[in-house]
Amino acid sequence: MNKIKGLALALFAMLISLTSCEGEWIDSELNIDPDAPSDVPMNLLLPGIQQSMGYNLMGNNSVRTNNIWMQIFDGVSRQSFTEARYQLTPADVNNLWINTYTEMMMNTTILVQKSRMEGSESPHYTGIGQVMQATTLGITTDLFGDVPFSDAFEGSRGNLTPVYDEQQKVYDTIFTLLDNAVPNLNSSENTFAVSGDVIYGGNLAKWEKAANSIKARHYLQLSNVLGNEAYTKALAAAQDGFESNADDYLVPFEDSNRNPIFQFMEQRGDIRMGATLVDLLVSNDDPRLEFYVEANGDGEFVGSEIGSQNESASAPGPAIAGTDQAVKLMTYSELKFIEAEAHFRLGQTTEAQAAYEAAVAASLLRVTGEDQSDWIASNLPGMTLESILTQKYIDGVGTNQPYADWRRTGLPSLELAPGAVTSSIPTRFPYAQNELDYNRANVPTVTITDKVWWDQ
Amino acid sequence: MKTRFSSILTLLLAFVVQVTFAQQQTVSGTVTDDDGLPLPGVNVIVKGTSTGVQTDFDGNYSIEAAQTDVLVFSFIGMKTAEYPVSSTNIVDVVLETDTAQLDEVVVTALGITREKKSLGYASQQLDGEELTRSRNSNALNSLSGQVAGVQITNNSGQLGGSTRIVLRGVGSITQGNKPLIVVDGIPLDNSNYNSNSAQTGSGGYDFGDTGFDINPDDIASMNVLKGGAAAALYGNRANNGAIIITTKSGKKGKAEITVNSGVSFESINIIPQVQKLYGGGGGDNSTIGQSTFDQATIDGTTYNIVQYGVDESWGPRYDPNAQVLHWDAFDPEFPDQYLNPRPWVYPENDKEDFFDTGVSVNNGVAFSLGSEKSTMRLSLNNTQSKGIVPQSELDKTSLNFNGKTELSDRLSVDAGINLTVTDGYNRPAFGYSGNSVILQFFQFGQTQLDYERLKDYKLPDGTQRTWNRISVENGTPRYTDNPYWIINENYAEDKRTRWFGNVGAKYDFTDNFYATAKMYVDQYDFRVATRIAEGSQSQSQYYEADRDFTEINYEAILHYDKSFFDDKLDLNAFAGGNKRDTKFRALIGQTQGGLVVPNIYNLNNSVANPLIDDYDENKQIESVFGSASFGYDDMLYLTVTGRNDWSSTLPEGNNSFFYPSINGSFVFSQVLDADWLSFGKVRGGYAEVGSDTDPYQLRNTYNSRVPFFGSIRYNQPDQNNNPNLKPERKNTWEVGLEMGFLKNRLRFDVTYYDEITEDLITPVQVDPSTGYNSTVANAGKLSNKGIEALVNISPIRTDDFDWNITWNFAKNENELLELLPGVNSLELARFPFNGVTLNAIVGQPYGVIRGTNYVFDDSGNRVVGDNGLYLETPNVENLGSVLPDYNMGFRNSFRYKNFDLGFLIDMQKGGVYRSLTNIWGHYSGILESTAANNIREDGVVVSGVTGDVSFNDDGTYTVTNTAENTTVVPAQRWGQDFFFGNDNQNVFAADYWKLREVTFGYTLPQEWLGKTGVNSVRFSAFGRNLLVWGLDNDNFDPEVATGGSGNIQGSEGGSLPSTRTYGLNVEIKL
Repeated sequence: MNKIKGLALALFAMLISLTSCEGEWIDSELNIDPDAPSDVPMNLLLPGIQQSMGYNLMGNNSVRTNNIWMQIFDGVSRQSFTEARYQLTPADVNNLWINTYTEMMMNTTILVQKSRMEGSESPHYTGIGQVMQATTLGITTDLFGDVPFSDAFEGSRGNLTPVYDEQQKVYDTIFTLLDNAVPNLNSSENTFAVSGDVIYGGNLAKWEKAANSIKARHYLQLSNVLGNEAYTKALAAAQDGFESNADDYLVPFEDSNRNPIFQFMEQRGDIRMGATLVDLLVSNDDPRLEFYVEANGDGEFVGSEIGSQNESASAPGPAIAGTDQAVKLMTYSELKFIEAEAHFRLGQTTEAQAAYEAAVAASLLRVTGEDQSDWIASNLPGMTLESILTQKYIDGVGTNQPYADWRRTGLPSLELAPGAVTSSIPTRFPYAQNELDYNRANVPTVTITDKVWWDQ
Repeated sequence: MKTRFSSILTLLLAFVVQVTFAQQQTVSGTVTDDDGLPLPGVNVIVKGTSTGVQTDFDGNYSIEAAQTDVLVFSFIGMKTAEYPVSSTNIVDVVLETDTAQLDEVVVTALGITREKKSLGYASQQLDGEELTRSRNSNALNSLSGQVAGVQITNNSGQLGGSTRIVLRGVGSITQGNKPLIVVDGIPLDNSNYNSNSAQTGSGGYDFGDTGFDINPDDIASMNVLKGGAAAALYGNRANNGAIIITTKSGKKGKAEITVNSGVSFESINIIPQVQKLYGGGGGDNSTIGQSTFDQATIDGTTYNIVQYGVDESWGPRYDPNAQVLHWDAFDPEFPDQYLNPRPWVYPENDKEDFFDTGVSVNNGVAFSLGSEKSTMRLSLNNTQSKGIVPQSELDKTSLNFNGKTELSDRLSVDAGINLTVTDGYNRPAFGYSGNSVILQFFQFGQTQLDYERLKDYKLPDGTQRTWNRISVENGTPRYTDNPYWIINENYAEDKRTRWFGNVGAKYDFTDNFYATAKMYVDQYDFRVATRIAEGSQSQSQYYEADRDFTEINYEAILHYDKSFFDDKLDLNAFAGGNKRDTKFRALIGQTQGGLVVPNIYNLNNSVANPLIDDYDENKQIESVFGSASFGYDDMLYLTVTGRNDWSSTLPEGNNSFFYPSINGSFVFSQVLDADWLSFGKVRGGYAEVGSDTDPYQLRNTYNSRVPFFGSIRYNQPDQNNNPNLKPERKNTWEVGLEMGFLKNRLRFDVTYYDEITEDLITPVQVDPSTGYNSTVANAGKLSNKGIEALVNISPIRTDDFDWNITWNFAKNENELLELLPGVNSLELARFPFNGVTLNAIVGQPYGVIRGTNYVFDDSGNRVVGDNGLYLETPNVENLGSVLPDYNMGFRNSFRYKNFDLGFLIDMQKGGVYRSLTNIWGHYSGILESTAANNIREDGVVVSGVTGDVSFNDDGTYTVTNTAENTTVVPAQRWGQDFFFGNDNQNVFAADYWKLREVTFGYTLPQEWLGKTGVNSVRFSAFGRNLLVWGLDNDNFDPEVATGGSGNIQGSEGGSLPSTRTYGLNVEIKL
């Protein structure tokens, strides 16, 4: 009897002690996530940012829509057809906005902060971060106008409603970032050598050329605001920009990270090549045709007329939607087109002609992989502002630049789609639904036919 | 007998035998019930003394008493009887059943049994019979319509699918809002691992809840603790109430074998109605009138062919004289069909013929045994089900053992173990995904397809043969796979192996003072695999998820029970501690870029590096708790409780939290001596409950992603964690009134409750330009107020005929009172297409669907634009909450001699859901409405007004110059507008009335069985969900708008049709 009583008491005492470990009542170490580090080195942050820039900023959510508007693509059914009629809601751009801010710009901000850590300053990373930040911010402001930046990325310190910077200020920020990037990239004192750089493999000279080229892009974008100053500054920046296609600022793709347009075509497939672009290529026997445009079921290269919902038109070709086709943050050919336009506007016809030809040659070489000087000699349209911008439009397929240039110059001229829900082709993206929901007080009220500051 | 049995246990545990020794005679006898069966455990007390004994297992007792004494015989559930001791030494007693059973004993928090009348909160207990009479293989689904304040949502057509259970409304913004489920003291995990995309309707599989593993036939009783006061002792995890399940156990002095066999059949009930006038084709949305066939010249002959490249049904009108080449006429491998035109008619075997009649076979056997000192029960149960989608199967096998033995007068030990294997094969995909056959049936497909012909889904070389060819020459699937390819090649598998059990001991130090110590374990391994075969429309893929869950609880409690002042005052007190340790691991892999070798479903067979998600989680909570209950003269009751938890998930300064509760009742019928009033009680309770959160929300970490060109990718996740979190708090109070009249033939029980949950730990969405999508904060305050009512009426109660009516009603008003300052809404989920979202919005009930709305004029007419289609507001508006206004259940049961009949009607009013099938089914010309009233030939004039609309910046508008709309639009354009137009066109009220259960039973008369050794035989026929009416949209049962048991509700993205079930069962007791 006593034995049993003793046993019971011992058992009870054991359970009590199990439930109440003296001293360590509860182990707070237990709440440290065993699967996720609280800090990572910069070389692990860099590839994620670059992948997102390629996938989200260029590939998926922005380019697809504005290339439909530019009649490079045509939305033939479902949501893409909606977009082809210029219906783009705040909800539609939510992913773009979220990825831009939380993936690209936030992580770049962290990268730059880390690169400035006292005792292990790594200005080479700082410089790369600044170029990437300026690239992303530039494309973002061109699409959205005023955007948050100077007050942004402070969520962990409690700033949940950042104010918007006017686009003019954003442009100043872009130029400052790029100006600061150059000395950083050239700094002789650097703790951590750059690695994990998928874009340039740590080649700092190429990053410096990219900084100057992006600067040229955005000076030219100010042509309606600055007049000739825009052209001279663009030309000055271009001096130290890309020197050949080898310098192109590209995000590559691979089997496990496939090209965004390829993925879209595979999963939803509601776009075809637009007739406006395809007709331009066909009529001029352009060698880029079969690279941009896939033959349709009948073996023909046919674009879908705006509003026609022609599902049997050609799908995007390998240079746009190849599985591992790289996307273009900026190319040597674009820089040459910038030079061509700037020289042309400044009346420097000889330089303009040279740049124009170099631009088209670079484009053809990049897309077709072959030297096409014969075609240039016989088929290149004579140089006018329109032909420069039309050739730039053809070259810029799959980027945000045709839309930026068209708004700035009205070239090439495009017709409004039948069944349009707006009275003109939209001249900006709407602000994202999350902005309207969570920062309404700061979000400017806009419609998508409003114009951004440089477009006035 | 179950209630009675649990009463015996209670008495055994609580009753203190006190025998006084005096010079008196020995009186003995047998106590039996109305049926002459012996009653063990009856209290036999000499009136006016504390002398008493209990009857033994054969109902015998023996007590010393004087000839002048009066013996009082009492037993819970029976009417108390008094017999004077005469000169005879034998007093045999028959106790009458107290049919009202208001002295019912219920199982409350921590497994403590209590007299129901002593409780200061609402409690509704169902016994096993009530749960199993319609033979639902999911015990939790059986609660539907039976308990006031319990809202159950389940898509009946989804084999073993998820069950959403909400008790008294939604109390948390982003945490589960699920009740705690406790089986014999074991907190049983009821997780749901459906993907986010399955839950939103974007597509996926429903693998159900892990609570499915409970075998309904093992349940003795289920008590639903809805409010804070009831559940406070369980602490934070019962924040949303608790369901306390007690399993059957052996009965002392009795050996019994129960055999149960049943079969049930399941057929389609509510399914979208499809037009039967036009076949597949792309149509032309710019013209009124029908389209024509395509033509193709093959081997010099020109044929009319169907437009198989499109997945819509705007094609030509059926015409038996039109000969066309159907989808199967292009494969020379099938010479009978090759280039062989057939008439253009609605198919003999349409979509509904694709579905099978589901069959479920259930077999169970239970052995129970009890001696003086020990009881045990062993049961084995197997259910094999085939769903309505061909080849879908679900097997559940469970083995349950429990036993208890008294090792000495003071020490008893008990143990229970349950093993369940739930094995699913080919559970159907649903929603807007390639493997979902619903997508091609009702969203994007062609109506003329004959499903018998589609069964030839493969060419001899193994490639797929689908109706949706890219072109005449190219048979590759364009958008859609052959449905038989899907169910044969792209199947899913899942298997969960689970055991849960407890072991414990009870030791009586004195007659008043005892201790219990228990250990509870719940562990499972859950593996899911899905596949897409090479040759499908989508890239081939293999996905495998392996999840392991373990929870261990150690619990020790000291009890003190004593009566004072001549038994006028009872005290039941206890104090104890609990340690809980929960571990969860998941290893999830998915091939990338396709499979290298077809038909090898292995992660290593991935073209690119497979995507791996490796997740580990550990959480501990230490608790101490105590409770003291006082009862005075069976009339006044008071209970106070307190509990303190320490959680590993909260920061060191804030990880300890205490919460008290108090509740009491006053049985006023004890003082009001009125004949008409059989029972009357008022009650009230107040409770606070604290709550912790999920692990790892205190500091920011980096996430890894698939490597990019060999470089590992880490990035800052888009959620900003918070090192300063504090516990959530819930404050609740409730009051109730119970009354019984006319010998309890009319009874009611009403409850009013008011609950506020605040400091809700919520990832609040923020402006992404802060660098984060969300920031974790103690944000949010939710209010739930409601009324619950239960009415029981027994209009007829005779020996041969009983009629009972039960009506329950629950109305809950939910409002989100605040989020973070400046933040007024939080997106819970994004439904597929058009940016329609589910939200928590300040000032609104939880779960508001937001999307664009119609434009209305001042009189509420819908405004139509110049194009003849409804206008759409430029901004999203609130289109209603998914929460219902009220729910009601109405049960009738009849017994005539050995026959019984019962039916349950269940209704819901209010709440909305959004249907994606309504969008695409109109867009593609599949739904019946797209061909009704000859609209394809005549066009459509939508009902509404035209007018001048001017929109203001804030989204408001004014409408002037209205006139009746007369614009005729082509039917296809009208159909497409369900996608292009406003979102409110696809939002419907979730009201329903359902004939939830019908049961008809016959118990063989005892005399027939005679000496066969068989104790009872019962046959029953049953039906579930037989009828549904009162729907807003007859194409959908509103309950199908669920893709999981979590907070994401109200999205029909391509749901399987709801079903009705009917079957037969026989139960034999030996």
